[in-house]
Amino acid sequence: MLACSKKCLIQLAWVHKLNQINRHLLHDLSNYLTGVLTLSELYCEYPTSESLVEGLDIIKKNALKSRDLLTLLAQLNHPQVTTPTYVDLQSLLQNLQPIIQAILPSNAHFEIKYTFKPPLPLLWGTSYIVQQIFLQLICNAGEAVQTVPKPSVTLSIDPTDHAIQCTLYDNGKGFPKNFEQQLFQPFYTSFSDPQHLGLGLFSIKEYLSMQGGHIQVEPCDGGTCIRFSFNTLSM
Amino acid sequence: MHSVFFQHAFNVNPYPILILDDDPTILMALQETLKGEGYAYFATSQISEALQALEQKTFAVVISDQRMSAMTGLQFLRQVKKQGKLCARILITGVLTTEIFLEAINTVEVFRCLPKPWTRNSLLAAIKEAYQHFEYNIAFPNAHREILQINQQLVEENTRLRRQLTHP
Repeated sequence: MLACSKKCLIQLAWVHKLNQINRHLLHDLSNYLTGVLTLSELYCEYPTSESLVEGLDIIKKNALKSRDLLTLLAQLNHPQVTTPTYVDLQSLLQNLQPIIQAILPSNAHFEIKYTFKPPLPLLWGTSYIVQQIFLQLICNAGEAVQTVPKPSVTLSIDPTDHAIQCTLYDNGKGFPKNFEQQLFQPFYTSFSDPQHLGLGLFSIKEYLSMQGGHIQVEPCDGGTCIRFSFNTLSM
Repeated sequence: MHSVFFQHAFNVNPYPILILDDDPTILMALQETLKGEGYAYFATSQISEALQALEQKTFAVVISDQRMSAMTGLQFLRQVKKQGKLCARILITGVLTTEIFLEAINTVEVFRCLPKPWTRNSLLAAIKEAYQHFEYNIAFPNAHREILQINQQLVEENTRLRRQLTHP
């Protein structure tokens, strides 16, 4: 019964976050299409416009970005295969870059630091779940840095003997002191906005502990530092 | 790109339009559209520069994107309204939710909510109507009454002249 409730909460957390991510992606998609539509209609009316060459280049780039974004939207929302397999974390993060860009504020600095020479050891697990963990955490970081003048989010990847250690730092609003453990309680949220369910960290901890990984959150340089690991043998 | 001020050599529409959007493509598309239609404009991706420009100039229309990094378009337009800036406000947004729509209409009193992607016709219509709204109701609020008065005087003068012609 308890396991079933936990499973439902974990699913609810992802559906809620996916809805948020979809909104970000749709916003970007509508921006690209607006550029294509406005400029193409303009040049149909004024074919000798001074900005024609520059404008046509923008139309082409935006059309290609729209195509890529549509592919990502389809991948993200299509029911995924849940069979565990070897997961290449580096290429998974590479594929997520356009989504990460859409999730974070447009003025945010985002960087992935690899403290090793590639290739990264492969994980054994479900790529869709690994993807969910990263997207949920980066989505949270994006919300935390929303009001910061120079927002910055950094993800460090560091392989150890039997695990891959990840550290996600954001210079956002942080969280109240001595609340480290409460953050993993279901329905606990440091946001006052009722749209936040407070299920994100709870579900990520559940995912990771099921697979032998772990997660901890600590305040760091005025922001938040989240350390989490994936077991390279049994994830 | 930070900001661009553009004015036509022949000033058809004397009051400029302010455009605020942190997406460079949308900003360029709006600029090219306004330029083609003979509007003067100030285009910027920075909220601070938009607020500074509003201090220095009177704008007929202020167009702002909803989703920006430092503040939302509604927060920006609310600030414009609070400062008593007399202009028609247009909110452009990719994802128009009921909450945004209600706040835009009831609190910020925007003139139009323009969802993206728009068609050229809907964009031009929104800008033209907003500009006319500014001219009729804000810039020249007495113009309509004055035109009616002048028209009445012309009618009276016409009647008097006709009378003089029939009964010299």
